[in-house]
Amino acid sequence: MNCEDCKPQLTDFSRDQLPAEMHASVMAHLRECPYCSREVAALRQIAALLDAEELPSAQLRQGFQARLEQTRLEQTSIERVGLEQASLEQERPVPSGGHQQRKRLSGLFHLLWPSRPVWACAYSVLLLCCGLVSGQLLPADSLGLSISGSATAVTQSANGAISEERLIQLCSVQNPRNSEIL
Amino acid sequence: MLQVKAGRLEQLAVLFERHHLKLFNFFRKSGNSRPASEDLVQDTFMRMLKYAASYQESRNFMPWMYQIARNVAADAGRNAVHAGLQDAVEPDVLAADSMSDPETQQSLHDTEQRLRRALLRLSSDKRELVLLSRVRQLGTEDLARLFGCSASVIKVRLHRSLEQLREYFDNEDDQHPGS
Repeated sequence: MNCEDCKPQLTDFSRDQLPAEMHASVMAHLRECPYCSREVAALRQIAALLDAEELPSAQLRQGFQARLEQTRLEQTSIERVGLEQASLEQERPVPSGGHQQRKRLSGLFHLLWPSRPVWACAYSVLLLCCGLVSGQLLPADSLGLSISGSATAVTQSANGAISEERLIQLCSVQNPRNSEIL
Repeated sequence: MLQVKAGRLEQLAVLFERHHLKLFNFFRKSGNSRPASEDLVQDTFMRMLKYAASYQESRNFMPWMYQIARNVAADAGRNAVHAGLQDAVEPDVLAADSMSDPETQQSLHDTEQRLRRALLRLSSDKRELVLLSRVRQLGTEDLARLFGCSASVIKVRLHRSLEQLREYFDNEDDQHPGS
């Protein structure tokens, strides 16, 4: 190994990140090369300074423990609220039979009635047409009696109206107007 | 995480104990103040809880957690910009402020301060890549997935980012010879 090959490996060498074989080759080169040895010494000095540790104050641990405890309490209270809600759901009264039947009917209506507005409109028109057609196709005598009966009643009332008009005319002939009297 | 997903929230405390230190330092080295970094760690774990349902068994936990951490940091940055807070827009200013704090000055070694200043001169993507490359559980493939590119591309990017960081780090040495 020469310096050119060795130099790129020095960073990993100083971090002890080289595979065993490469580590041995670099070590062998460093024994022979004062330049690369100096490089490694400088890197190791920097590394040692970077590794020097400063101790935090006791407040760090206390602060962390306080925050952890607070989080734990919050989580416990959330879990408790969840459990209470679940128990309330279980204790809720069961609906009566009539209510259930109404619910079932409403469910059936929702099942039969189209969900889209266009289909609902078409469905309504179809129902209207069915009504009109069935009205036309029903037997005539079932409606005939009622129609003729109502026609007679209309004629009688019309005759009554005419006779009243005639009576007024006769009265006006027999009784001269006030202007004529004057 | 699967147990958290199953509703055992107390298991998140186990994950917190395992990973909060790394996350805190990730946020801290990204240019956030100590209180802001602590808030971001808490927010990350709360968001993990919120999105626990989305966690899949087939996925590695570490890339998932760091993806959430990156999102939390990005959201916090956006919110700060909306709120008109200057420190989110200019991390260098924040870094300078934090450096001027006497307690911080005492607690941090000079070289660490130099490294922090050098880190803050990198773009946010490069800075995140460099910082995440130091997380043992994140391999090259994981980083590639996190940054949405191939493993070979991530190797090149990481190499260039580290070179740039070294350059800035050395320049810091020249600019602050007394430190």
